[in-house]
Amino acid sequence: MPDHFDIAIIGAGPAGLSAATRAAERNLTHILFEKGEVGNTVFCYQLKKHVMAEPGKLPLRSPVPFQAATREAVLEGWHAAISKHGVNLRKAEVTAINKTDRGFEIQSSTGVCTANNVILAIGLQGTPRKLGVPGGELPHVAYTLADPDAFQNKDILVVGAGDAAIENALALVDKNRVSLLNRGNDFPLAKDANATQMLKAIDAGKVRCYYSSSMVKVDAGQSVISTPEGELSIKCDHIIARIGAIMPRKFLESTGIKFPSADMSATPVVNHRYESNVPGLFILGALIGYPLIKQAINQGYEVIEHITGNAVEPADQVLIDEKLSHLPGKVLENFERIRAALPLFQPLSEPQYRELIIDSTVHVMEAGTVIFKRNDYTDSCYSVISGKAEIDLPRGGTATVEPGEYFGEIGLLSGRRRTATIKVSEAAWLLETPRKQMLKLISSVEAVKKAINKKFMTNALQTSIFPDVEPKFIAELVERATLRSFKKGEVLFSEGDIGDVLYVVRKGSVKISRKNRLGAVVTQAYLAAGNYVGEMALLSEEPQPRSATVTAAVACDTMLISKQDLHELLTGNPNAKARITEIAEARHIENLTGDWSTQSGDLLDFMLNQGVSDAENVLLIDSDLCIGCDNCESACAATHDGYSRLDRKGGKSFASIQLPVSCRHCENPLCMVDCPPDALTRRANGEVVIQDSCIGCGNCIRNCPYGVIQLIYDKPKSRSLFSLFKDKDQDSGAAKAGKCDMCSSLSSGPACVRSCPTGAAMRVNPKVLIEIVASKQQ
Amino acid sequence: MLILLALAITLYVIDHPIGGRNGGTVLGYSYGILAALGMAILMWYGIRKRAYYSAKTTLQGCLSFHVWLGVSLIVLVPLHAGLNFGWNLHTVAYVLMVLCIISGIWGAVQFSTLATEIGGHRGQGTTKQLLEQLELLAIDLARVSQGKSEQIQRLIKKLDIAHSQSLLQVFGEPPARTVDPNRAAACMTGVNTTDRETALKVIDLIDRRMDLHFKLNREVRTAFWLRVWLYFHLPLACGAMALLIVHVFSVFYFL
Repeated sequence: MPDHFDIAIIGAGPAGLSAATRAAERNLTHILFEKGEVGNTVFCYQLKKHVMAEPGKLPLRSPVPFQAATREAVLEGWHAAISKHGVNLRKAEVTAINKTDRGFEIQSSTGVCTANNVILAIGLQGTPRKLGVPGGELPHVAYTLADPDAFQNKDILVVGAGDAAIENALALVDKNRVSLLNRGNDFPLAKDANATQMLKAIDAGKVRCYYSSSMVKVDAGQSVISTPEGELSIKCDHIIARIGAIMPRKFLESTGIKFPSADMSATPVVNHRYESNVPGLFILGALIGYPLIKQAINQGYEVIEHITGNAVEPADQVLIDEKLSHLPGKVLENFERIRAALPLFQPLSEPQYRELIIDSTVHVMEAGTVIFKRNDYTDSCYSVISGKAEIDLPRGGTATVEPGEYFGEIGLLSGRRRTATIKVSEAAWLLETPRKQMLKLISSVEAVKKAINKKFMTNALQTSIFPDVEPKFIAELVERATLRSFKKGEVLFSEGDIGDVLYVVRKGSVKISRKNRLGAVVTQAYLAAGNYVGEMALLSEEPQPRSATVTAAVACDTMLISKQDLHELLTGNPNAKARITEIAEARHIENLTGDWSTQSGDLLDFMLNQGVSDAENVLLIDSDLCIGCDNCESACAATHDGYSRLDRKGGKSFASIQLPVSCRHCENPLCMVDCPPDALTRRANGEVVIQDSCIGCGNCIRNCPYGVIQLIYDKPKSRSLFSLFKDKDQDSGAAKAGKCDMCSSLSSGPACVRSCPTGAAMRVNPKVLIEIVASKQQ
Repeated sequence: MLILLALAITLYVIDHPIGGRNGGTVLGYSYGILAALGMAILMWYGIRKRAYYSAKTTLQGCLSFHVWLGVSLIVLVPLHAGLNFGWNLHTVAYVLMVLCIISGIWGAVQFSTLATEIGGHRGQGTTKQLLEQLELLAIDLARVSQGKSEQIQRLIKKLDIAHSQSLLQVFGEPPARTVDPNRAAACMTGVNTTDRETALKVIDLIDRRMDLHFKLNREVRTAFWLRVWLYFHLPLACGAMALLIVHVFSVFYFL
């Protein structure tokens, strides 16, 4: 007869540990399985790494202690909790969970046991992909890198071409001889900044990279790899394999858990008690989309309360109360009312909906209030709970947004300015959801993704290419359209290809280039998100060769409409056809007389390479006027904690205009892409600013292609005489990311510009820059 | 500023005070006060330059005012004195002020003519980058010539430059920008057929080094002339200010 427990918990991470300690407190018989170390993900962090306790406002309720501290202090607290509460910890790997009549049967590497309830809290980091070659389990093969400084003067082989592999290799490169094993010929999976750094290191001879190569066999001190030139035996003291982690989907599905879609990022659905579709089987933490430690610890506590029949309010209820406290009526009623009013969010699970409300804001607005203006840079999404809003269409006229509908999704997906002004036309309740939360929902809830994509495509087609065309026709076209992403530098189509697809640029920008008479490729124009390319080839009956090459200037998302689909739809609709042809021809002529002919190719190339096409506001220095006094840098340092955020001497020049190293406030800021505390935000006027919640992880620094962000440590000592008499500044210890904030706190504008004695420094919009450079060239 | 100056001169010409024109007349006092104020404002530029939070004026405007105010003082002060000069402290104060203003004008001229010479502006790299490149080329040169014949070593000795970061390079002729073809040809004559390829490579590297050396020299020169005037301008300004105080004090003390 195997051992029987009330609760079996799998995974001794924050969620599992919290559930186990709470179970112990409530005198439930329990068992906690862990195949690695307690708090394994934290355990694998680099030594002394600072562990954050976000979100700050969320109260912690669990016998497991947790607050922001070093890795070592956090782990020590957790170990203490285990011994204090007498948690029944078993170091074993669970291999199968089967539902039986009496609950569950759990098979592990140390035997079989049964339990009434099972809590799965295994996280996402527990299953790194293994090398899978002879010798792959030898002790000098590692799948993480905790302390790069532990290696000195060694031959190290890093396997992989993703961000983890590159970051590890670069961390080791200074003190060791590092080789990199790359299965492909490039680094397509890595962030641009990482890939660039890696290529630089390879060029400089710091890293030896084996392209198109794979591991064959691992021996102590020696490894055999397969390269295009044949098998090669190389010396290596250590191997660090960073070839990804596997979502344990197969394992989860083997227990009967269902996933909402085949999408790799999909998470299993749970109800408000964290119970999956298998009764008695609960899932917590990162597996259901809660990556933060604090959330996981709270869930561990709550799930035990639910199992014991104590219908506890979730820990985040206080946050919801606070969010909705300004509304008339009871919080619970409003909470339900909002959900009932908004069809877009009805497919959300209970935890997802709670998170949505916590991150969003409900606005009560009078008729006539402007919600946002055309060309604003805000990027949240609004849903109308009650009342009505009115859109001033850019081409004249208005459109009404009814309750249950939403707006603002164009800015959300493209990162561009608002395309229209929207105001309240009938006293309204509006739910404003921040971009990051919407993007999270789009990636995790298939229904939301579909609905938003459809709306975006309809809007894009209506506003750009097919205005005044029947909505029914557009809806059909959207139904058939497909989406495709391009990496920076990837070619959408080449000059001379036979064109059969139209691309609407949904995000990013593309450059258009043609061969001139001498055969040299000249860049002619760039088009930002919201525009389309390839329409001429699409509309003619005959096969048409492309007249230009179109390349992604930055990473782009595009929407494809095929010629066949369009023609099929147009055959039954002569009016639409006539209208569309008319528009396309007008546009063609517009293109001929517009930007195409006036802008010089060299200038455009320079601007594209320097990221100016993607910029909102660039700092430029007229070198004919600059006297190199560096007062701009001094001014920047004096107004920003003693560190200059611009490098006057750096950057490239064109026609005596220099673009020093300074933030360009990009339209699609790559720095914002991967910020764990969401500290990078953009103001309504386009400025990208870093807020105090920055944790100094350095992601933005690596992601910025222009090198304008730096880590800022504690203040340098003031050089003023008075500092002799003041208390010495305390070393804050933590570094934070810093970059140009356009001196948003100064009413007078950027200090660098105001402090230039000769007027050489200017901060301008790229359009002005083009004019200045063009006038310099003449 | 020019209008004001013209006005000051006109008033000076019409004014015929009893006892002749001097610093003690009504107009003399007025001009004296104006000039002293002007000097104070000129000195204040040093503070304004570092007032990075200042919002009311731009530094560009302040500098422009600084320059024109300074220039106008050359005229205003003699008007204050009724064009009375002599071997006394008051004239020394004036001379110091004029020297200071001239050094400023000199600096302004340097700025307007030399600023475009700064290589970093032209995307040619900063001084530090140029120095790094110079060193890299030296390493290349050593690698190419390593273990080669005596003739190659001699060729290097004859043609290569020695770069030092001395201030002296600011004065005198700028270095040659390229290897003299005649000298290169002369050096090549003695080289064996087996070494000719290496010799050409070496000459090529030396040529690139000379080009860099030339650019570096221009950088240093420019930087020197852009800065050196300040070493006169500031002490002279302080000296003039000090003597102004002495001048005011002595004029009233010995009244």
